[in-house]
Amino acid sequence: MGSAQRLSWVVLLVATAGLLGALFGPSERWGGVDLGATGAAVFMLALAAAIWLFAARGDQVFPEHMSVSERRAWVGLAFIAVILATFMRQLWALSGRAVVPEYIHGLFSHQFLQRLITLIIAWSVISWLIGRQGGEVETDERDLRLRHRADRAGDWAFTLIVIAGICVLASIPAPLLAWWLSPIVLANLLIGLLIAKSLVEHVALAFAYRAGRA
Amino acid sequence: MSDHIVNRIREWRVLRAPMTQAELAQACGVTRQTIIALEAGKYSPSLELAFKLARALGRNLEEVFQYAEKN
Repeated sequence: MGSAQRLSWVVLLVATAGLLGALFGPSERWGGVDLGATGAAVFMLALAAAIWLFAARGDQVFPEHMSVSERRAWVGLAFIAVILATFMRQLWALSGRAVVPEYIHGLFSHQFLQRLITLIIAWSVISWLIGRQGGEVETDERDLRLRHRADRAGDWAFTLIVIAGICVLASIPAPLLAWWLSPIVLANLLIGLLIAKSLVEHVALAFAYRAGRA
Repeated sequence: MSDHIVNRIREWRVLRAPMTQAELAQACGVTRQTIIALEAGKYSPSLELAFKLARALGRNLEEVFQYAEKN
């Protein structure tokens, strides 16, 4: 394992620790430190470090035998997992509110939107930097076939989640579901469903590449 | 009993038309990882790619790919 790969593992670990602090840190200060704010700052620094790493030594971050598409698949998996974790935290915060927002501007918190936009920009930049290293074919018929298989896995997951939702709706008394079926919460659940589908597709794609490696 | 496609890409590439996996990949417009997967028998190419491979190796299609029965 080269120094760039070791460095990328350190950045990944720091980012994970920062994210855990930002999402699940206690609301009160711990030893005089605001774990939530500190975690968020550490995560942003790790994100900036990751972009620098891909810009400066991008061709050494992943093992040489990985194609551009496989590298993008693993990066995509990491980002979609972070987006799902951030979204679940937002949903958790929403569940703690006595009054559910009634209008579209209450759909997401300002903090969540800020994080989501930052993550999408960082993901796009890193994907672009990975493509810049190639100099050869980026995507071929094998990549498209694997992506098609991953899409099918996502479709299956989507179907299963919808069936599970139908079972829940049919088996739980309506008054107990009143909060979950309020328009804004329902909108959030549908967004969560789309993110979960995307996560399954990214997991399937990344592991299909891994399984198909000689 | 099932059927499968076997290939002699590695043999033709190394012995008869010395070229690297990267050179063959470039000649066929695919990634080097696809050539690796093909040579390892982990991927069956489309008909179009099969023709491109055979042409790049200077062989007929049936010299490179065989449709075999597997017990």
